[in-house]
Amino acid sequence: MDWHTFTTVDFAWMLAIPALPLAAFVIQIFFGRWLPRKGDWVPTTAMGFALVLAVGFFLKAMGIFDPTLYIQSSNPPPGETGLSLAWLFGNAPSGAPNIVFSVLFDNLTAVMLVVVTGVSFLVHVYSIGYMEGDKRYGRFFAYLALFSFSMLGLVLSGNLLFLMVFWELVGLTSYLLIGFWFEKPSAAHAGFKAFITTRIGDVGMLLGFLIIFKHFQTLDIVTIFQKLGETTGDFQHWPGWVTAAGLLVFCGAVGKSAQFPLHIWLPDAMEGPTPVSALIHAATMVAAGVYLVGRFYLFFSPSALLVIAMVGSFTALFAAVIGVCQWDIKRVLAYSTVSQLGYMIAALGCGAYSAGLMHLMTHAWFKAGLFLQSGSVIIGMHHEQDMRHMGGLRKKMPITFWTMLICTLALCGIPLFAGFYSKDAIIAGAMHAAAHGGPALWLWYFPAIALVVAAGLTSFYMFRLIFLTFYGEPRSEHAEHAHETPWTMTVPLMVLAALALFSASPWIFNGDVLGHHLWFPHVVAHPEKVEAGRLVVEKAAEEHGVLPLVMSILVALGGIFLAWAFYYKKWLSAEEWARKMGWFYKAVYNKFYVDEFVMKFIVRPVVFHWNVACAAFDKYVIDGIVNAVGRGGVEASEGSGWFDKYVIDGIVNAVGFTVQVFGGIARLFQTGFLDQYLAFTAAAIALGAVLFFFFL
Amino acid sequence: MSQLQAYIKDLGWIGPELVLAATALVVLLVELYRRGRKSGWSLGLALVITLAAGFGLSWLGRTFSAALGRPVDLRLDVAVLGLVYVLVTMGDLWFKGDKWDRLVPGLVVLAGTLLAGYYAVGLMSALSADPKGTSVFGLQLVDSYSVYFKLLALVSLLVVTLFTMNYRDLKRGFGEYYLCLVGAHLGIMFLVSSNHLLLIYLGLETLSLSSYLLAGFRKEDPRSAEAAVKYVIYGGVASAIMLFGFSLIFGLGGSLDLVEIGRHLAGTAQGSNRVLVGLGMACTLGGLSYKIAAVPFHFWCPDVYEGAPTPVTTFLAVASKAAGFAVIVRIVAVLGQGPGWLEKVTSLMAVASALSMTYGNLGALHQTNVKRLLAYSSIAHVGYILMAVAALFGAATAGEGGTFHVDPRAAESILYYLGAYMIMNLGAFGAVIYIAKSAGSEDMDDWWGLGWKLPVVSGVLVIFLLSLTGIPPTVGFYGKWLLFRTAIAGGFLWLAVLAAVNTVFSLFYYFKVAKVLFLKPAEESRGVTVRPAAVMAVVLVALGLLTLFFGVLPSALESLAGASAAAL
Amino acid sequence: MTVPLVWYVFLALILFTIGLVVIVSRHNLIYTLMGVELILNGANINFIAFARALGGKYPIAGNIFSIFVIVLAAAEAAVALAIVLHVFGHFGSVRPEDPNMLRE
Repeated sequence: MDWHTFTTVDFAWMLAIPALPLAAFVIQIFFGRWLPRKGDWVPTTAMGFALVLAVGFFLKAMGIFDPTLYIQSSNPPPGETGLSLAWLFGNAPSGAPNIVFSVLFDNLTAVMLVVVTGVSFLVHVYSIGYMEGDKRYGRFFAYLALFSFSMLGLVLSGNLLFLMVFWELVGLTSYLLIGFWFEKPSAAHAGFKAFITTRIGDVGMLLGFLIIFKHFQTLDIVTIFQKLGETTGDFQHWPGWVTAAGLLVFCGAVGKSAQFPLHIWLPDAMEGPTPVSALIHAATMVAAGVYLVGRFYLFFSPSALLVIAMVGSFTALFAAVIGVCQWDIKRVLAYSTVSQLGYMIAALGCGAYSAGLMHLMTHAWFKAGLFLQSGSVIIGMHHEQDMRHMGGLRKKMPITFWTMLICTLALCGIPLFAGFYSKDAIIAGAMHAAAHGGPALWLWYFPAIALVVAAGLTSFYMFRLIFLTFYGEPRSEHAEHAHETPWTMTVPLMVLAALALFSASPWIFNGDVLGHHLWFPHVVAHPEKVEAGRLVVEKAAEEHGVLPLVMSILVALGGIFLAWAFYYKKWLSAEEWARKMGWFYKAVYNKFYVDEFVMKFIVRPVVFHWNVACAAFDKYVIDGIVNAVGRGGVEASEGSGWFDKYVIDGIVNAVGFTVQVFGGIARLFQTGFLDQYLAFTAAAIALGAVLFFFFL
Repeated sequence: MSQLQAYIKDLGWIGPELVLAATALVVLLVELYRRGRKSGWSLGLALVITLAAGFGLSWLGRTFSAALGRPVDLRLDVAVLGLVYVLVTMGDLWFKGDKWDRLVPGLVVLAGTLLAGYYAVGLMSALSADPKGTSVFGLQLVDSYSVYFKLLALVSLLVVTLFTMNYRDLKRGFGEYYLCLVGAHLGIMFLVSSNHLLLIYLGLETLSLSSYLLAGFRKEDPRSAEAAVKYVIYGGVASAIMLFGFSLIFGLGGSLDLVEIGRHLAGTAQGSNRVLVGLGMACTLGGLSYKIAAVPFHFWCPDVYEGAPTPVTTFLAVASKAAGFAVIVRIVAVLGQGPGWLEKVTSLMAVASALSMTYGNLGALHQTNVKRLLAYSSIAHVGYILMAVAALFGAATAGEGGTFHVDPRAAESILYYLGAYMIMNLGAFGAVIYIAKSAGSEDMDDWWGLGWKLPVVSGVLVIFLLSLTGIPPTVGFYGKWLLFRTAIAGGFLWLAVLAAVNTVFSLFYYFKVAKVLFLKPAEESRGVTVRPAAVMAVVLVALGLLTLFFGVLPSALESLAGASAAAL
Repeated sequence: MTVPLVWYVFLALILFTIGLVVIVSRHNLIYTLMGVELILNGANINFIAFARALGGKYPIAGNIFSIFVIVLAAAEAAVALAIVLHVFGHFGSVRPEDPNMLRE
C-alpha cells in the first residue's frame, strides 16, 4: 500500500475535521446569543466544511481502493515525518511510556467520517427548522457541535486512552442532548438513565483496557494487535485473559449500542428532540459500539465472538418483538434501532465483518432519515406522536411520505435499496456461520434463525407504521389539519432518502445488481492480522448462494404483506389477534416484564435481609432522586410507564440499595461520641497488631 | 569562623521557612500594635519585641557581614530602624478601624507567602540539577521532594488566607488566627523536609497544635468547640501512639536518622526482635495515618471538617493531608525496604487503602451537609492515594544489598495526585464557602436551584466535582489514571478494580451536589442573601481553569512531580 | 547489678497499655489527657533506655529527644486543657459523649 500518498499535511487536515466543530462549539457557547440568528449558522457551516474534508478523504481512499490501507500517523516509514502529538512531553522519568495521540486511518475510518459529518450536517440544517422558537435554540447547536467533535475524535483515535476519553465525551454530550428539555422531568430522568446505563458498560470497557495495558504495556492500537499476534501464535491459540478482556471491552459496546440487557436507555432517550434522536440514536453514538467491535475485531477469540453473536441476535429478535406493539412513532423507531444494532453486532460475531459494518453505514442513512421524517410528521401534527391519532397524512405531507417510504423499504431490505445489500449479506453471513460454525456448533443456528425471524417482524412493524400514519382516514383534529414542513426540514429528508437508495449500490465502483462486487466489502474487509504495521485481510467469500437471498426477500415481502393485511385492507383485525394471543400479547406489551423480574428477584431479597439484620433506615438520597424523578415522570408513551419505573428503580436501586447496605456501616461508626471513636481506634490497633504478626 | 560561614550558607537553603517565620513575627507585631490602641500592655509588649527584634537583626547582620569578610555596613542598621518604624505606623496609624482587623494581618501573610514562594521556586530550579539536595544542620533535608511539598503548602497558605479574608463568620482574633495558620504551615515545611525523627515529631506537633486551635476558632459556635475537642483528644492520643512507635524504632534501629534506621532494620524481619520492630512500625504508621485520616484512624475527620470554620477545613483537607502523606511516603520508603518487611508494610497500606476508599465513598452517599460530604470524599481520596503508597516499591525486585527501592513512577503518581488534589479541593471548599454564604446554610437541601443565581461559582464547582470523580479532561482524571497504573504495576490489581468500582459510587454523591444546584430553575430557589466578594470568585475561576488546564496538558505538573520524586 | 534493657522496654510497654486502657475506659476528658501523658512517658522511658544502651555516635540523642517530648507534652496539655475549658463553657460537661452535635 502506498503510504506516501498520505503526508503530514493530510493528517493535519484530518485533525481539522474534529477541530472545526470544536471551534464552533467554543464560539457558539460563549458568543452565540449575540450572533445574528443566535449563531445557528456557525456550527452548521463548520460541519459543512468538515463534511467537505471528510468526503475529500473518502474519495482519496476510494481512489486507492485497497482493503489493506491501514495508516497510523505516528508510524511513518523512514523518510517521512508523520504526525503525532505526544501527551507527555519533557523527560518522563525512568522510561514511563509516552502516550502519543495518533490518527489511525483506514477505509473504515474514511466511511465513518463521511457518515458522521454527513448525518451531523443534515441534522444541523434540519434543526434550524425543527427547533425554531425554542428558548435555548443557540445552546442546542453548541451541544450538537460538541457531540460531533467527540464522535469524530473517537473515530480518528489510534490510541486506547484517547478512544476512551472521546467515548466518555460522547456519553456526556448525549446526556446533555437527551435531557435538553430538562424542565420535563421525564426528559431529565431519561438523560440520567442513559448516562448511568452506558456508564455501567464503560466500567467493563475500562477494565478490559486495563487488562490489555497490563499485559502489553502499550495503548497504541497497532502495537497491541502486533503483540497479540505474537502472543496468540498468529491468532490460533487464545489465552483466557484475551477472551476475558475482549468480552469486557464488548461490555462498553453493549452499553453504548443498547444491546440486551443495557438497552433500556434507548427507548426513553426519545424524550430528547427528534434531531437528537436522529443524530445520536440512529447514526452515530450507538454506532460507536459497533465501530469499537469492528476496530477491535482482531482481539476477539472464537468464544468471545460466539457470545457477541448471541447477544446481538437475541437483541435483534427481542427488540423487534417489542416494536410490534408500540403506539408512539418514535418508540417504534427506537426499538427498531435496537434491533438493527443487534443485527450489526450479530453480523460481526458471525464473522460477517464487512456485512455488519456496511449495515452500520446504510442504517445510518435510512434510520436518520426515518427519524427526521418522523420529526417532520410530529411537527406537522403539532407535536402529536401517537400513531393512533394519525392517518391519511399521505396527501397532506407528500414529501415526507415518499421519503419515509423509501427509507422504510431500505430498512426492510427490499432489493435495489441500500439496506437490502447489507441485510442480505448479514443473513448470508449468519447462515454461513451456522453451517460452518466454531465452538458449540448447534448454538450457531440461533443467530441465523433469530435474524431471519426478526427481518420478517421488522418489515411488519415498519409497514404497520406506514399504514397507520399515512393511509386511512385522519383519526384526529391534528391529522385533519396537518401540513408539510419547511424546506430546511424536507431537503435533508430527501438527501437521506437518496443515500438510502444508492449508497451501497453496486453500480458505483463497478458491481452488479445481485450484490456481487459491491464496493464496500471490497474496501472494508475482514482483517486477518497486523504485520509490520500493515493490515492483512482475508479474502471474503463472494458467493453466498441463492438461499439467503431468497429467504431474506421472502421474509421481507411476507412482513409487508401481513402489515398490509392487518392495517390497510383490514382483512384481519389487529385487536382480535391481540386478544387471541392473550397472555403473550400482554407480555410483549409490558416489555416481557424484565423490570418486574429484577425488582422481585434481585432487589426485594436484599432489602428484606438488610431490614432483618439492621435497625431503622433513613431516607437515602439515591432513593430520593429515583423517587422524585420517577414520581414526576411523564410517560411519552402509554406502555412504557411500567418499564420506566421498574427498570429505573430496578437497576438503580439494585445498585443503590446494595450500596446503601454498606453505607449504613459508616453511620454505625460515626456516632458522634468521642469515647467511642477512641475505643474503635484502640480495637483497630489491637486487631491490626494481631493480623500484622500472625497473618501478613 | 569557617563553621559560621558554613552555617550562613546553610541558612540559604531554608529560606522559605525563615521568611514564613518572619511573617509570623510581623503578624504578631501588627496585631499587638493594633490592640495597643486599647490596651497598654499590648502596646508595651509590642514595643519591646520590636526593639529587641530590631537590635537583634542588626547585630546578626553585622556578625554575618564580618564572617563573610565584607565590611560592616551601617546601612543595615538604618534599614532595620526603618523597618521598625514601618511596623509601628502600619499597625497604629494606617488602616484604622475594625474593618481592617480582618484584612491587615491577611495582607501581611499574603506578602510573606509570595516572598517565600518566590524563594521556594528558586530553590526548586536550583535543585533541578541535583534533586537529592543537601542536608541542613544534619536534621533537615532540602531536596526537590521537600521543596515540592513546601510549594504546595505555600499555595495552600495563600489561598486559605484569601478565603479567610472573605469569610465573615469569623469575628475576632484575626491576629492569633493568622499566627496559628502561619505557624501550622511552618510546621508543615519542617515536617516534609526532614529525615530525622526529632524534626518530624517537632514539625508534626507544631502543625497539630496549631490545627487544634484553628479548628476551635469560632468561639461563639459550639460545633467549632466540639470539633476542636474531638480533634485535640483524638490527635493527642494518636500522636502519643506515634511517639511510642518512634521510640521503638529508634531503639531497634540504632539512630534517630531515618536512613540509618532503615538500614539497620532491613534484615530484622526474621530476627529475635521482630515483634518489637513490628510493633514500632505499626504504631508509627498508625499514628501518622491519623493525620491523613485513613481508616481506621479517620473517626475525627467528618466531625472536625464539619465543625471547623470552612477556611480551616480547607487547610486541613489540603495542606495537612499532603504533609501527612509526605512523611508517610518517606517512612514507608524507609521501613519497607527490608526483605521481610516489604510485604507486611505494603499489605498494611493496601488494607488501609481498601477500607478508606470504600468507607469514604459509602459514607458520603447519604450526606446532606456539604462539608461532611467533602470530608468523607477526602477519606476516599486518601484511599486512592494509599493504593499508590502500597505499590510504592513497584514490581518489588531487590536491589543491591538485598533491599528494595522505591519505584520513582509510583512516587511521581503520588506527588502528582497530591498536587491535583490540592487544586481540586481548594476550589471545592472555596466554592462551598461562597455558596454557603449566599444560601445561609451548608446543607444541600437549602441549595436547590442556586446554581442559576450564582452561575460562575457553581459552574466552577461542577468542574471541581468532575475532577474529584475523575472524569476527563480534568486533572483529577489524569491523576487517577496514574494511580491506577501504579497500583497495577505494583501488582495490586484488586485495589485498582475496587477503586474503579468506588469511582462509580462516588459519581452518585458528587453529582447530587451538581443536581441540587442546577436542576430546579432559578425562580424557585431561596433568595441570595449575601454576595461574597468578587475576589473569591476570581480565585475560584482561576483554580477551575487550572483544573482543566492540567487535565488537558498534565505534563507541566507531571514533570515537576517526576523531578521531585527522583529525590526519594 | 545492671538492669537488662529488656526490662525497661517492658516497663514502657506496660505504661503504654495502662495509658491506652485509661484513654478508652474513662468517661472524662481530663482522664483521657492523663492517659496520653502516660503513653508519652512510656515513650520517654524507651528513648532514655535505648539511648543509654546504644552508645554510638550520639550517645545522648535519645535523652535530648526526651527533653523535647516533655516540652511538647506540656504545650499539648496546655492547648488541650484550654480547648476542654472552652468546651466546658459551651456544653457544661467534660464527658466525651456530651458534645454530640456533629454526628453520622
